[in-house]
Amino acid sequence: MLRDITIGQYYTENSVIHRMDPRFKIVASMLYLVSLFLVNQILAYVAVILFIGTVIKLSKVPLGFVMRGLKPILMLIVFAFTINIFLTPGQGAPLVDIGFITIYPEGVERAFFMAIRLVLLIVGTSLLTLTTSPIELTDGIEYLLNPFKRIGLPAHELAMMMTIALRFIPTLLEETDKIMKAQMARGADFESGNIMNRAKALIPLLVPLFISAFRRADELAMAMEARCYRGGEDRTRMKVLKYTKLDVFGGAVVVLYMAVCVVL
Amino acid sequence: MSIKIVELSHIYDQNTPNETRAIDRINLDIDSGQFIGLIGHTGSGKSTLIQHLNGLLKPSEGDVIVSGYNITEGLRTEIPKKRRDRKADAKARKKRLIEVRKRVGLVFQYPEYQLFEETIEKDIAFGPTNLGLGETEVKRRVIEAMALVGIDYEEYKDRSPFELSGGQKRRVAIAGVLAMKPEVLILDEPTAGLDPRGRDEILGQIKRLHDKEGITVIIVSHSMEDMAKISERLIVMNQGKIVLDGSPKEVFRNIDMLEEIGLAVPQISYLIRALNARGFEIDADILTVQEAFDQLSLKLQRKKKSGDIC
Repeated sequence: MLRDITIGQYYTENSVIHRMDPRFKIVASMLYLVSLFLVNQILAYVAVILFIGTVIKLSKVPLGFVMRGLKPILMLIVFAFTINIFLTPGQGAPLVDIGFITIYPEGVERAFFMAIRLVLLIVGTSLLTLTTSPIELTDGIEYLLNPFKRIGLPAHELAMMMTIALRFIPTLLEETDKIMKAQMARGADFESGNIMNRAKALIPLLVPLFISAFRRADELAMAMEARCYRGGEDRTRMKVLKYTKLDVFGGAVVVLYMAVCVVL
Repeated sequence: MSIKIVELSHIYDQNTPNETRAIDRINLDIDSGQFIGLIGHTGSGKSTLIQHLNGLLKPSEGDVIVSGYNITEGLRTEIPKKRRDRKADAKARKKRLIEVRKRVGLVFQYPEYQLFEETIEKDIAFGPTNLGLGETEVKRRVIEAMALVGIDYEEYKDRSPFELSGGQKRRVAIAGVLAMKPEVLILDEPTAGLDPRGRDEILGQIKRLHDKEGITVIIVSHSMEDMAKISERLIVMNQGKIVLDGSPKEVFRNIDMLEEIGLAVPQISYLIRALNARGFEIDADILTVQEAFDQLSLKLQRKKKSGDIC
C-alpha cells in the first residue's frame, strides 16, 4: 500500500535540461524567481510564459506532470486572487459597487497578475526538482553554499544530512509497511473509526518506527565512523560537477531573459 | 484446521515495468496439526506466500481456503457503488478478516521490532484486545501466552519490553501472537539473529506448543539442521514455485537438486554421503548428529570385532 508513494518528484528523462549542471539550474531558478517579481506588464508576462514554456518543452517532462505541483496550492491561489480583487484600493471609478463590496480595475489587474505569478513560481521551481535528481540537487547546494563556510556555515554537513534523509525515505517506507502488516496480523485496524480512533491506532505503528529510525541512525553513524568519515574537510568526490558548453549556452539564454525582464 | 491453496499467484507492481511474479500458481494442502518447515532461498517467495495465509496480501490469482472458508473471496469483491452499501460491505469484510486473523497467527521476521507498549503485559494484550475480548479473558490469555514462551508473568508483566535482551524480546513478541490463540501459527524466520542457545529455546518452545495444543505450525527458515530436527513435513520453494514437498528424509535425499537452487542439506548428510562413498553402509536417511553417532558407533564396534579395523 505504501509502495507507490514517491517523494521528490524527479522525472527520469535524458533531456538537455536534465543534463545541465545542478549548480547552474539552481542559480537559474533563483534568477527566474527574481524575474517574476520584477515584471509587471502583460507583455513581460508573455515573455516569461514563453521562456518557461520552452524550458518545459526542452525538458521532455509532460505538461500534466508539471502542473500536478499546482494542486496543493490551488486553494492558496484562489485565496490570494479573491483577497486582491476585493481589497485593492483604486483611484478611478469602481467596476462594481454593491454595498460593502467594491471592485476597482486595479484590483482585478493585481489579482490576475498575482495568480499568474504564483502559478509561474510553482511551475518554475517544480521544474527544478523534476529535472534534477535529489542527489544532484544536494551536491549543487553544497557547492553553492561553499563560500559561506567562511562565516561558519556547515555546508558539507547540511548537504550530507539532506542526502542521508533522502536516502532513507524508501527504507523507512518499507519499514512502515512491515510494521503495519505485523500489527494488522495482531488485529490492529488502521482504516476505520473516527479521527480519534485512527490517531490512537497509529501509536503501535509510530513507536516501533521511531525506535527503529533511531537505531538505524546510530548504526549508520557507527558505520560512517568506522570508514573514517570525519566531515567535509579535504574530501574528494566521486562525481565531480563540471560546467559544460550546455551550461554556458543556458547561461547566455538566462542572461538574455533577465535583460528582457529588466527592460520591460 | 486445514489450509488449502489453489493456483495461487502473486504479482508485485502489476502492469508496470517492474512487474515481478513472486509466487507462481501454487497448489498446497496443509492438514490440521502438521508441523511444517518452509524452506527456500532469499526471494523464493516464502514470505509472500505466508502473508496470503491470513489475508495481509491480496492474491493476483487463485484462492486461499482456511478451514473451508475462502479468505480471498472477501478481499476480491467489487466495491459497491452506493456509499451505504460500501460501508456495510467494508464492515462485513473486516469482520471476516478479523476472523481469519484470529485463526491464523503470523509472527513476522524480527518480531521484536513491533513491540510498542510501556509494559510487557500491555503489549501482549494488544492482539486479544483487538479481537474484542473481555478484560478477564485477555488477562488469562496473557498469563497463558507468557507461560508458553517461558517468561514469568509476575516478574515481567510490569517491565518495559525495551529493557529485555534480544531473545526475550522476541519471545514476548511471539507471546503477543500466541495470546490470540491461533489454530495455525506461522513464524517467519523465528530464530534469525539469535545465538545457538536462544535458537534452541525458541524452537523447543514452539515444538512443545505444537505437541501440547495440537496447533498447526508453519516455520519459514534457512536452517536445514533445525528443520530436519523438528518438522514433520518440508516444503522447498524456488523462484515462486514449490519444488519439493515431503518428509525431511524424502526431501534431503535430493542433495543435488537442493544444492542447485542454492540450499544445503544438513552437514551430517554430507558426512554420510562421503562415508558411504568409501564403503561404509550407513542408512542415507539419517538427519541428526545423534542418529549418525549411534549408527556409526554400532558399525565401528562390529568392525572392530570382526577385525577390519585395528
